[in-house]
Amino acid sequence: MNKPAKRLISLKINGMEYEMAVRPNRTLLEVLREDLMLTGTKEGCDDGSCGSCTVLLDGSPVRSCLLLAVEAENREVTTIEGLAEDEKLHPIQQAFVDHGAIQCGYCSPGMILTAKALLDENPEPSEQDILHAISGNLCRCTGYNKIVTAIKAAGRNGKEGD
Amino acid sequence: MRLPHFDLRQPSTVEEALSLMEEFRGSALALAGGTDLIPLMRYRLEVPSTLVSLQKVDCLKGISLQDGRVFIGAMTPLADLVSSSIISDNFPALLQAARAVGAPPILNLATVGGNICQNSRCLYYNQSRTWRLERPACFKAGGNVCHAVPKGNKCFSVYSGDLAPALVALDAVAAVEKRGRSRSVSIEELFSGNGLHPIALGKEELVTGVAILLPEKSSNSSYMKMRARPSIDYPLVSAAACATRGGNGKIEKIRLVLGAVGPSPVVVGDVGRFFEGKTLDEVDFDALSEIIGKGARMVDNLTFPGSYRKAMLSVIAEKAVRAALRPGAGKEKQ
Amino acid sequence: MDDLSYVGRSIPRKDGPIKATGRAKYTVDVTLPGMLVGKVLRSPHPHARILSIDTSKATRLPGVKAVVTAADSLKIKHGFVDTPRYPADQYPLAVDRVRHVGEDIAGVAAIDEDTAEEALSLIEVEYEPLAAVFDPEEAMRPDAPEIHPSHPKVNEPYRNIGGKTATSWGDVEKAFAESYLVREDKFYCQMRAHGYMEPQATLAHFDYSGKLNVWTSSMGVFLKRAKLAKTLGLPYGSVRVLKTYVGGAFGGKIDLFHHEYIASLLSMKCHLPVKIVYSREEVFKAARPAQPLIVQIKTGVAKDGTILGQEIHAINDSGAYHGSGVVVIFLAWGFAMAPYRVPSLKYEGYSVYTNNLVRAPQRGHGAPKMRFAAESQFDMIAEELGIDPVEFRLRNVRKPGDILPNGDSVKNFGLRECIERVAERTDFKNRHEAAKRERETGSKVKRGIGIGTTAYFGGSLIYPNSSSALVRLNDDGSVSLLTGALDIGQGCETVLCQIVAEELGVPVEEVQIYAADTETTPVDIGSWISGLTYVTGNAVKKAAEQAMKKLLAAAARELGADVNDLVARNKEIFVSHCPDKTISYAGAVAASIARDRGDSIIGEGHFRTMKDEPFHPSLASTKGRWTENYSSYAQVAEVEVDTETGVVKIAKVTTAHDCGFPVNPALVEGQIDGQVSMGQGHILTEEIRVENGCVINPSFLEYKIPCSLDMVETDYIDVITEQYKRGHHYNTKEVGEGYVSGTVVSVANAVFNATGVRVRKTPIHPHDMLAALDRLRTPKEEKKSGRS
Repeated sequence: MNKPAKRLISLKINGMEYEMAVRPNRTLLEVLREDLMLTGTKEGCDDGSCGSCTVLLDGSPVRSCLLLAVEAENREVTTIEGLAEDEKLHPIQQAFVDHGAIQCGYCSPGMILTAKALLDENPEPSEQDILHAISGNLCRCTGYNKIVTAIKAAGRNGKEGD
Repeated sequence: MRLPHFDLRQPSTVEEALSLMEEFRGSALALAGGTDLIPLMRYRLEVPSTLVSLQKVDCLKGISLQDGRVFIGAMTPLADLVSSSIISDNFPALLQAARAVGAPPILNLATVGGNICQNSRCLYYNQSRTWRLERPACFKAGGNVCHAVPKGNKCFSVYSGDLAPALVALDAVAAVEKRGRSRSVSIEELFSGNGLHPIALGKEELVTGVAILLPEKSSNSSYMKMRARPSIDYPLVSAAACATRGGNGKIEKIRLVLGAVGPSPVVVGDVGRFFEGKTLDEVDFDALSEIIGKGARMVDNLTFPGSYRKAMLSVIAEKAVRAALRPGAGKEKQ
Repeated sequence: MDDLSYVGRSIPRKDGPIKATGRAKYTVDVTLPGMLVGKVLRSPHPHARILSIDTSKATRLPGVKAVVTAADSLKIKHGFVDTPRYPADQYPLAVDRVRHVGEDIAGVAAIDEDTAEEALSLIEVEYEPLAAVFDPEEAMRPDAPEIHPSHPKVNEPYRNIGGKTATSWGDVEKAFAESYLVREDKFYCQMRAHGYMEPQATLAHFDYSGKLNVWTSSMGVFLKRAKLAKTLGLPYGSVRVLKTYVGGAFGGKIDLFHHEYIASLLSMKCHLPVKIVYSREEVFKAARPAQPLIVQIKTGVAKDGTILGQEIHAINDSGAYHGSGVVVIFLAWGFAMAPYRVPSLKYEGYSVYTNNLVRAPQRGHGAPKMRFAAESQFDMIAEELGIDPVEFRLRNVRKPGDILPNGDSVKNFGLRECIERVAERTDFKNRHEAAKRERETGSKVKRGIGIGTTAYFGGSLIYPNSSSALVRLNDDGSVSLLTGALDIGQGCETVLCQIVAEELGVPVEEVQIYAADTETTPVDIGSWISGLTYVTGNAVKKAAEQAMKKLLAAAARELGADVNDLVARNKEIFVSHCPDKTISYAGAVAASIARDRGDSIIGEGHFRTMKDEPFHPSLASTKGRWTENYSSYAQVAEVEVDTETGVVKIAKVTTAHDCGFPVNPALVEGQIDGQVSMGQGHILTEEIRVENGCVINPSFLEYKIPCSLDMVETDYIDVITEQYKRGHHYNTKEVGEGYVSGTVVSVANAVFNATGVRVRKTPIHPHDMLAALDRLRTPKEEKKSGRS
């Protein structure tokens, strides 16, 4: 079919407002990566199965490949680029680095954001809570063991830091 | 893979949404959470010229309790179902089914209406356009062959939703609306039984919500799902059970529903004789297994062979029944 | 042992922060101004003649900047192996015939995705379909459709033989005749996907200076450069392959992938940057999956369990071209002979063409399949002889210093210790016996324990054969390392920086690394054949040592001291008996420049294995040395089998590993965990399903790699057999590939221990498990063993 007109939308990403014109068929993932060059959000599959593209929408993890950019209007989007403050890593990022939870790093942005949403809601999750929370994010390198260790540690650290 | 082009409408009221569905009848599809529809569109299995997004129809979101009846708006995210005490207090089967759908990034987008109205699936249908061009089109894709059953004369796609079997077990009713008319349909009747178009909805109709009667105090329910991977997976088979006990602790009534058997959830008929007036220990599950899935034609079109999935029906059904009847069962906690 | 400050410690990986923040640029993230979208048209047929290709409509489509087919190419073949025996056999764009579904026909470059897609749909190709064959044993029959003529040096009347490895020693027939027990069994391993999360991707830009710049998700930039230069007809110096972060590889990104060639050719045609990113479906059907293998194995043993002889036939379905097929049949031999003594052996491996996808190595490259066959049979033999599986292995395990039939020494081989320690840690013997007894009880869930072992090579000779490194002291005394090594997630940049830090006494976080750019960094062996820490590590060590020597010489002159009295620590050099006589590294560098005719301080190091070997071993006869270092490990798996559903779960895997000397123990643990998970996928859930040459599960939804809820508890035991010493070349061993085998084998053996079901085919599908359990209940003996 003919290309429908672009929509003028305003997206709120990592606390910044972006005004942009996008066609309705573009996903949030595509707009983040291609228009805003926020390439920390990754694409790993065609059908929403891998979780590499996970971002936070109003604080909750979602697959940005399954969400139309137009539908993200008026919602708060957090990508991995919005987590660290200046040069200081977020405690979850630091825990991932310290505990060997990162190998190739391709799943890490999605994994870290999913973990953040979990810890925001439940700072001391059980191992089962963690495994369940990240069960939609595939990682091929680590076998998940060190990721679970890192999330547990970040949970405790976050609490101590309060 | 990119999405095809389409026009997007974003109504904010049900009336507006229904008008749009009527206006673009046949060429429009309703978009709820997108977790089912977006991949189908990426694969060009659905190529609507217009999408009517229900995201801004706020009155379709929410769970409420009124006059002994729980209403769940069609656009309620599954994550809200999972965190709702109304659901966990009353409908463990629904809670378990919602949780079984997927991980948080899916539950936060997927909706109740979208999950119920998802399309049926088949290993040979849920493929990209390029993949499908390598062979003749199958029945469901508009052709006249079945790749799963080479001599088959119909579509054997499998309805793989998790919520529907639980809702059928709970005797839930869907509110179905089109412009100027609304009707109530039991979830069971929402299914056509035809793999080509498993959901019996008119092109201008929308499911706007689900209503479930509060259960009797002595009743309990459960949902069990078997899959090849404990997450990121559709059911190989599933079962939902809703059971009521009498004052003497004996089973009064049971409703048992199977999922991922064929194009619709299947109510196991005539199960009263196995349960009524008995305690759990007295139930003859071997005899029950003889009738479960009888007549179901399960073919090799999902991860594991049809024969295996069929054999697993009685296993999963027994697990669901036992969970619904386990002593002290009632409220579901993780 | 030297007092080590950086080496041997679990230092967090250097690229952790850049990856954790999403700032690391992978190939899919790199963009250039004016960049075009490239796409590839593929064959829908498994085997067909190409009668005509008409690209005129696509070329005329507005927005299309270039279209290429074989007619635009030099028609130079490439191959994973390109030797006189096995010359390259694959065109990067199909010339007149396609031999598998998904084979590359044409490429387009256009201004956006939509236009590129439309252009593909406008290319008209006329095919004449040909008879196809998909099963390797069928393809060998004399009446099978011919995909390629059989290799001229293969004499048997088989068709479609791409390659053969044959070797023997001792007298196998005599050994079998003298054996107390001879068993013959056949085992099958499925085709698997690597499952790297970043898809195959390339960005190519042929600029107006005549240079081709390529960013690609790979496992080593120098091999890519060589293959691109050859097929494009460019001098090596005109092809620059640059570093990007790599989103996983696991063997699946070695060799030339056709998107790399096609993006380059498109860019050469239009002088604009062209980027091709595969969809996940394309990764499954057009990139290369891993090698399947059929292993028939006959073993004769004495009454006490001593192995007397083995005869092994391996059949590899290589797909439509060689790929790594002719290599896997060679490697499978090595994995058969390395860990245990086999006094007489006859080995034959065939690589057979079929109309399936071409294959790449995958982590372990033949080891999981060969060890699965050999060690499943070990347990079967042990069971028949009434010997404990651990005892059986200890009776046959190689000793340190053993010389293998090809002349290799296993040196400080730690397998015996690994087996002993893992058995002890897991209380193996008792639990193995207990599980056997409990098999007959009524419980629906059966538990069992099993053991598996491997030995693995590292850093063998294959292009580019060696690594070089430069260590440079900057004017301020800081240190830069230039290496061609490419970190694919295993953490090699961190390990190499640890070595530099150790040798130069500079904090590891201050060592700057510039890596993996064919134009500015020295040659490197690549992140494969498990040799990076050993080969590149030693090159880096030598370079750092040389830089240190120059630095100390300059300092000695400046301080008026003997070089042997100097101590360097934390970027300061002082005289040991006179600690206030000191000079900073910056001062020493300045002194060197001032006094030595402007010499800045640069250290240079080179390393290759098996210095005395002219060439890699013969793929045909196995003659020649294979490796200098044999790693080894023993793994024990604990499993649960649900006899009602046939579902197997792995509760725990304990690994005792001899990887020589772990330069970074935390990274070693990460490798082990990842391989346990990959082994879990291999033995339980993963399988590329193919019907008539077409992949029917080309997605992460249907190709089941483990998710977090499948996580296996892991435990590790370090068996350290080598040391890192100052001033010497150091030995370390493989750590990134072999553990898949131990996991696969130990789970298969544990399943038998739990249920009495012997796994002969991977993965263990629950329906196959149920059928096997049913057969056990109604016993029907089909023994292939015979006792003399």
